[in-house]
Amino acid sequence: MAELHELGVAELLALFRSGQASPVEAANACLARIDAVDPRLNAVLTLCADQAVDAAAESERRWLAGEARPLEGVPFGLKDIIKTAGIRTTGGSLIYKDYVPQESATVAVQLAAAGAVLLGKLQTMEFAMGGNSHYGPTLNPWNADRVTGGSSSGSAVAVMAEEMPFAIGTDTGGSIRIPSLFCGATGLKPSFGAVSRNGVFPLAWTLDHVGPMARSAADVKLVLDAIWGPDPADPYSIGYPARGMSGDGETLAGVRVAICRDWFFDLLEPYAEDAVTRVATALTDLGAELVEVSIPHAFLTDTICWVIILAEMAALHADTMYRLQDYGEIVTRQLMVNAQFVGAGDYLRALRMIPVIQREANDVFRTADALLVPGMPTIAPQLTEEGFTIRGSSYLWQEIISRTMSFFNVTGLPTLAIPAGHGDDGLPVGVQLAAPLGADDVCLRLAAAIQAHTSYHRERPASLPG
Amino acid sequence: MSHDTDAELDLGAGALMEHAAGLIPDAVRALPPENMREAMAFHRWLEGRLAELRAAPLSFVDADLPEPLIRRAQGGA
Repeated sequence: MAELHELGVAELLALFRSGQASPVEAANACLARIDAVDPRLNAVLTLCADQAVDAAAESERRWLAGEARPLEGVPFGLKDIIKTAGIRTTGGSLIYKDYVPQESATVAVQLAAAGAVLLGKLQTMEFAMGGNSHYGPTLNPWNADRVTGGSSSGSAVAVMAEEMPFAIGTDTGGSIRIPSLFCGATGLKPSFGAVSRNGVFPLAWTLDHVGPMARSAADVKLVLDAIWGPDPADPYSIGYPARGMSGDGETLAGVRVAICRDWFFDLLEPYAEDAVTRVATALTDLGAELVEVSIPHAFLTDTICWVIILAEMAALHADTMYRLQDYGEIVTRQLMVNAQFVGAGDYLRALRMIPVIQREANDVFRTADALLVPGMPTIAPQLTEEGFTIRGSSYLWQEIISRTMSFFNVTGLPTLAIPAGHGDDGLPVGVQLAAPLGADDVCLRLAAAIQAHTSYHRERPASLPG
Repeated sequence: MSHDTDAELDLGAGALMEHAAGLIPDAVRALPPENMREAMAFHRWLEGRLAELRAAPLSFVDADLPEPLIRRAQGGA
């Protein structure tokens, strides 16, 4: 039988329900796992062991009393840009190294109300941008010489090192999906506005999303159910009427999945394209129909995304910019300096293009239920690499990092990153599944069907960096 | 990677620093030279992206004005 720390959300809930395991046992198993592997991996920034054991004891009482809530007793972690009352929230920054919020973010409140047990705050790249945090690098569990990807680096590593069954990340230009893909996790950037951002350090309010990361689409769905919905405290929150799709759940007969070769396939390593082929084959095996589509201005979305991020970042950090020397990492500083050079005209032009790009996305969904595109163009690069190498050519970090991601931040479409095998050196590669706004369950249902048909999501590092 | 030599980046970085320092008083002057070289390499790249944005197809001019973001997903625009 698997160890408790190895189990996913649904598996733990089943054991709690049957009385074969208790939330306190699960919390202790995860805390022991963190103690064993995290000193090297560095996914956990602030451990909340005492609070976790207390919360798990309350969950245990609720299970025994027949009062269990949807995620009762399931351990998890929060990216450390998500405020937690009474628990330090650094944003990965020196500027907030001693910041202890008085109130929790809505998503933290929702998860506590659902019975989930917070184990700790997880590493994030500084303010969800740039390079590593000030609190040391987070190592890729597959290979310590490879980057983890970010900015939700701690969330991806904690999940894939089996320190906890799920974590919450944020995504402005791919920050849930990039580390998920580099580490083999399943991570959802929900529909824009579907999950509250109240109490989350913003990077760019036009593009920020909060979402779950886990080891399967089924587990992501369980978490999403607990955090989905409008929040009066978030002015960008949207109450979507529905997010499901019809079907029998066993096959994908009648489902049409679009593949867009514009832009998304222009710069890929062959193994990244192979990953799409494997998933496309799984989809057709399950009865889905594939259709080719075009998104004429997809090529502009990465530029739009960067311009919006830089402009909004400059506005958000205006009060602390004078402490530029306290911002870490060359990457962060170069972003902060260059943010000063994006003018109002450029920013407004970028905003003006959003509905144009959204209209092209909507055209896709007139002929298809979902969209399949590559994940990251490469496996996780070496820590020593300054950029990316694709088919033998070198590219700047910023040319590639969000290249296949930005379209979904600009359009707000729900997008799920799932693993789909391995590239070079046995490192994970994956794909992205997107759906119309509000139809997050379409991504999750397709992925659940694929994951029932394949085993890519069950693969784990043979041994963790020790 | 950047097509500029370190010397070219240093030359550009001087102007970049002067301009940015006017916008972020004192803070930029405190940065070490290697930070400014990296910032200049990023700046070269950003200039290209901004040029791309400014050269976007004229059809965009006829596009609807962006709706307030609170409505952008609701209308299925």
